[in-house]
Amino acid sequence: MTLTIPALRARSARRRRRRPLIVSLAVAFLVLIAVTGLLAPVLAPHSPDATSLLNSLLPPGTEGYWLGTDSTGRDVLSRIMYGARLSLLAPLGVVLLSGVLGITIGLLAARAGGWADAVISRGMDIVFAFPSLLLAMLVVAVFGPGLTAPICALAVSYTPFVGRVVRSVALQEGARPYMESYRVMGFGELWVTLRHLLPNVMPVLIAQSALAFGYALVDLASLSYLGLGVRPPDADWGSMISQARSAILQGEPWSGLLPGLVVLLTVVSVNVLGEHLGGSIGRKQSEGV
Amino acid sequence: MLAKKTLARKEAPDGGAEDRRDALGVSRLSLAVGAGERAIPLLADVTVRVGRGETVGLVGESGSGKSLTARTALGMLPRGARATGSVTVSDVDVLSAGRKTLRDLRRTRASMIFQDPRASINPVRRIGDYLTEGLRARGVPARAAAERALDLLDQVGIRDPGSAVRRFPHEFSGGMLQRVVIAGALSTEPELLLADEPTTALDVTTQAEVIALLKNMQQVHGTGMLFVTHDLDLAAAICDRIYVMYAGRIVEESVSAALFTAPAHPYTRALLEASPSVHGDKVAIKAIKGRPRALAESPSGCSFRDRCPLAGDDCAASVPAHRPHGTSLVACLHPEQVTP
Repeated sequence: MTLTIPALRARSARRRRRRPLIVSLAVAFLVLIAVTGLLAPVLAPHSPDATSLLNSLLPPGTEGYWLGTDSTGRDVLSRIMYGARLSLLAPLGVVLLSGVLGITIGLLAARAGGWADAVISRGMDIVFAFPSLLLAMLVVAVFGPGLTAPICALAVSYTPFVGRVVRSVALQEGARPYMESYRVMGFGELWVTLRHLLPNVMPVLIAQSALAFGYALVDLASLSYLGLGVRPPDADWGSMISQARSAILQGEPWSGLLPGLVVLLTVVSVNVLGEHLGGSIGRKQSEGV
Repeated sequence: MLAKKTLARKEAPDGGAEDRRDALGVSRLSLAVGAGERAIPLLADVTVRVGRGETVGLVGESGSGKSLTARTALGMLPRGARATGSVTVSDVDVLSAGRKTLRDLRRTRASMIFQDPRASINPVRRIGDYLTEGLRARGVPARAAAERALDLLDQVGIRDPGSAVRRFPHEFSGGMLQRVVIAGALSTEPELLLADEPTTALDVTTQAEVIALLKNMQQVHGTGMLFVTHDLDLAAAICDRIYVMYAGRIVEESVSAALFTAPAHPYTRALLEASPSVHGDKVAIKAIKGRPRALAESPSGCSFRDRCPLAGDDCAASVPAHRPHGTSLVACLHPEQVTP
């Protein structure tokens, strides 16, 4: 009998297969963005909030302002660097929060079974059917702008993504004989679930989280673009694009296009990474190692 | 090789006196899932006794209910199952036990070994974790548990226990892993060991080693063992007594040495005739006609009636009671036609 265990599959896959170039590039880009955000005070050539009407709407490549300036003369490069902080941390918050919620709910549904499973699953379907942006906008309308409210709202609407995956993997892994053998050793359901089932669910969950991170980034940028997320003058990529609207109409699209490009590249990188993690698990599964 | 032992008559399978000091006492156990009209019976009137330090075989075809009986000893009933009769594991009444009592029972008094060692250990945990987890749950300090794990691995013949505890299950062969599982099962010094086809997933040479180890460990630790298998020869080689199960019922109980020379139930004889032998003259293997029945679909009266060459009209009347014949207790109306 061959066994297919996600964690081992992922591990051996990583060891055996050379990582494709595109994945390396994606990882490199994400590291670059993270480091830039982390070291923004050291690396940024200007203060992200320093306005200078004399230097407004400079094109990229200008001496001292390598990526140009926006309509109030703030350095686009510096703002992108500082913006990386919020733009990366906020989706991370969404992923972590929805991860915790999703794991709890998914495991509960899978282990309890019966009517509890039915109630939880249908509940997840309902949240799933509700547009995440709409929910976030409602929450912001109630609690006022700022990042906490949209993060919580998006976390709730992402929970079914995680919960469903956790539930299905937990059902599959939970039926394996080793779960029974630990129960026979006199361990309670909770112990077996957390200590033995959860580690076997994690690999799939990590891949799923990478994808959710990309979605969250775009959603949060959308909220910022709509003026519901970050409050000025704080920089985040979504609000930068939003504030560049008038400049774009004036025929000076750079201050909006560049943060847009960074959003695009980050999301693509995260998706490539998630695809790779999920893919190596799926590949091993089909080979049945 | 095996000393012929006389059968203890007082623990007759008809639900006689129960010896409270037994490692396992299953008495008149019946099990069914579902309720009312749609209830599906799984076990009927099963009586099995395992004394301290005794090895008892439970033999039967797939679906005869032998694994189910073993699992019931640990209170692992199928979902929605109702059990009647009594099951005691060293003085603990399993069927009426609460969750905590059952948990303590599983942690300390009884262990189980499964068919496939690779499937019964969490693949993402190290061997050391597997062995110490049960001990830690009983309140053994981490350091003492780690030492005990090393000692156990040494006892079951794993070379270099120090590095073995840090390795993962997939780094071991099936036989080695079953040794680890045996070590884990004995780590809590149980009084009862339930071995559910522990060698079926292993190759033949490994089987012999694992069986020898199991017997040895059982003798060292004084553990009573219920050995569930479909391999009659294997059971006869290591067990003191053997129960033969068919369609959720015990059809014969016998001292294992006598089972081969004087099978008392037609089913036992048919099983023996259906297994190949390397000794003696060439004899054609006789397959048992028909297919094995589950209890729910077996005919009225004797369950084996529709496949039995000796069956008469009287066999349909009622389920035959167990009665002594030779050294066996047999649930058959015509045992003298099997072994005159």
